[in-house]
Amino acid sequence: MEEEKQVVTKGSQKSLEVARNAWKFIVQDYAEGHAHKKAGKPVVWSCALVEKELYHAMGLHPFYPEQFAALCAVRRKTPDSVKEAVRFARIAEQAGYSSDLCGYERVSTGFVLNGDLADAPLDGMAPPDMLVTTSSVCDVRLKWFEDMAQRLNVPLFTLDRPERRFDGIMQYPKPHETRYYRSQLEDLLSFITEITGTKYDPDRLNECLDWGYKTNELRLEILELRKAVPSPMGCADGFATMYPGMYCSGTKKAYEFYRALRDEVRGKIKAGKGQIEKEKFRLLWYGIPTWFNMGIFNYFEPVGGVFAYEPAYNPHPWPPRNPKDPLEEIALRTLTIGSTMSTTIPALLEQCREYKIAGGVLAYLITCRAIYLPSLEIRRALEKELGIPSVLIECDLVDERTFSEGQVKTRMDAFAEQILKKHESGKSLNN
Amino acid sequence: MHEIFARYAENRHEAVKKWKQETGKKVFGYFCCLTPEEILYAADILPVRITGTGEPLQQADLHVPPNSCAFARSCLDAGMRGMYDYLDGVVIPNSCDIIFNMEFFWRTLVPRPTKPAMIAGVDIKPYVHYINYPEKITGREVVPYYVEVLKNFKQDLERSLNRSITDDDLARAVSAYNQDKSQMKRMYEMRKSDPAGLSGYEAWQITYSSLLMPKDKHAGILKGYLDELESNGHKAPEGIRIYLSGSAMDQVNADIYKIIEESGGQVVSDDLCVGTRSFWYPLNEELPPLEAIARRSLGTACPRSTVTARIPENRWTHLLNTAKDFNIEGAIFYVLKCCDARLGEFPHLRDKLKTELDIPVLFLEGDYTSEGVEQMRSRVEAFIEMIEG
Repeated sequence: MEEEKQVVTKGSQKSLEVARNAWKFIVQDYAEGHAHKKAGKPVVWSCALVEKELYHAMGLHPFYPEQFAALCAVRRKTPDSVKEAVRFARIAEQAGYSSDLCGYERVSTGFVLNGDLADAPLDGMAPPDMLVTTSSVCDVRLKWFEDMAQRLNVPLFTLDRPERRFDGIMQYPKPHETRYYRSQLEDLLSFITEITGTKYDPDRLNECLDWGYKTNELRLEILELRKAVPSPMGCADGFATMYPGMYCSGTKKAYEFYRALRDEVRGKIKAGKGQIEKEKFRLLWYGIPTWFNMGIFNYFEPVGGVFAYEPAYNPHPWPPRNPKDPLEEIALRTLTIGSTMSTTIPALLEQCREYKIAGGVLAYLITCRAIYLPSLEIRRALEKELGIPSVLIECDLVDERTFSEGQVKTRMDAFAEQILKKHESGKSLNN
Repeated sequence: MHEIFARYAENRHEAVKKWKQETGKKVFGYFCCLTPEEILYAADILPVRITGTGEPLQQADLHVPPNSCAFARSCLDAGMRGMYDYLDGVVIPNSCDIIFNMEFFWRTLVPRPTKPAMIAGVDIKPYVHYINYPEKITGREVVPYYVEVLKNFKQDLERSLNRSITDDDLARAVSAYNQDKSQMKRMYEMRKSDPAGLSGYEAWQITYSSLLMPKDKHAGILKGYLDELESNGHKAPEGIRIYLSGSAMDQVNADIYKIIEESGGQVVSDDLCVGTRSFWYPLNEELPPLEAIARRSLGTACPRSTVTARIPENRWTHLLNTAKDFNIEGAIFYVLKCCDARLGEFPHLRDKLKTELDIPVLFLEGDYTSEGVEQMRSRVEAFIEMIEG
């Protein structure tokens, strides 16, 4: 039985102090959310790609089922029990949710079906007063949030982001696209007001957007710093430190977190220190990490390989601040980035050049269609355009039952050997 | 069964090629029933729904990973193998994650009959047209937004075809589509009787052929055929009355109708894109035609789409509308593996059917092969036996 399979997984070794302490930030944020709810203040469950500054401006504390599912992938109820993600996924599957569905969806649905929302890591997500989702990235988050709204009997708002098709990495939207998205931002604010009584205050939103903008600039600066050789900050650090930027944008604490991170990365570069003593080759991680087994990011270190860059969760340059019309600014910011393969593949190739990537590990996430669908084309483009080999790691995002450790290690060993041979033959590894 | 419907259903490519040869007109392929195919019709183009083969993949598996919709992968494979070489263009809406990506795959992998007409890096006569269909189909600004999307599509088409598409052309298309919709509705009405006026498989053949024939021609033949059935009192074999809900019901998946009928059931209504969703919502001829087309397209209850309601129930509403008055005794959900929208909504719809209508539900997960459909026979038999008591 699949359920009986024992999977050996472990956490990652992070190279940065700020990354090692990022967990404390998350624990503190969850505690603040629960205190907020206890004080009678409203809570929203939402998604990463909704503009979080809106929540902070409107007095809501957000929880994120996707992030919560990732958190469940590393926590156990007791030392002997299965990971919490597996416990919740089983509850959902027993209720008829297919195991082909997104791991995030199954875990958070199982958490809802479990009945006791406090019976979970960090006391779970506080009961929501509303749900807000977006059409960005995947279909799943529409159906998943609809389903949670139906099960919890909690009102839902969906932000529909037009899926624009264009060649190139960024392009300003057309007027009708901006009008459409902006109208929904206005409707979202009205929706929040109807439920909470809090009125929209443009000054307060501008204040949050100022923090968000400054935080984004810092994150962009960190990305730039990460191009240094040797790599001062790896993917384990990158994924560990994404929470404040992805989920707390618009707050002073997120800004301060990245300021400390930026300073630490700067310090490492100045001291000429990398993630490891002797860096031989640099790797790309494409996709969402295998949250239940972050130790994978240290796998190549004994042979001199470091994960230097991951495109997931990274910021993109925002349009300039527009305090006179903050909603227009938000609409532009969200619509400027493209999400088709015509956009993502050329962007990835460019990033591989900039980060001097020698090989790619592609998370072949079998239940995450958005990440999974482009993976074979990405593999082909890396090889054809840059001569970069890559390896596919097949599993779920949070459900370790899908992870075959032996198979993954065999593939990764062969992959490392391929890169090292190239290294020993004196060929340039860096693109 | 009327010979022409069967011919289109059983050998679609030959039938369409023959039509093209005889008329000398253009044919465009499209994905999904929410595509504004009326605009193609207005431009004197025959829109035909793209479907797959159910055969092992020959080329697409090198590009589209296996744990994704087998139907869409098969469609692409058919395109890469040249089975759609008679198409003059392809229209792809943003209807679900995989169809959205079909725009890239089809554009980069399927050979096109004419070379791109590049001006300053832009192909002014694109072979693949993308429709930025909203994912939330209601809301105060969605209609103006989508009308603008359709205007852009119409302009691209006009440039590609070197002809204009006037409001009169669009109005003619709206009228032809409404005529066919009303005959299709009539055909479904005839299935409310017990026994049904025609079998589920016959109804599927008629529906499937409507996606491959010009609508005026289909409506005319269908009217004559239904008149004939009514006058001679034709009835389908009796059987447990089944509601069928599921993924793309093309000639591969449609074997499920035969299995249901051979097991003592009879499909009398459905929630299918090659079914009610392809004709259920009429076009308002009082509106400017582009707006009427936009509203029809937005009215389609695709499992992927959502609405502005605080607790959306649009999918349940569509199911209820297409199930009521049909005296349903059981519901079969035939869902293709990895169809996220369908899989995600299934538990809720199953629970509603059981608690609100007291209708038993069978869930079948398909792999888009004839063998896979055949393997469901024993489960279908057991389900129908259970209802028969």
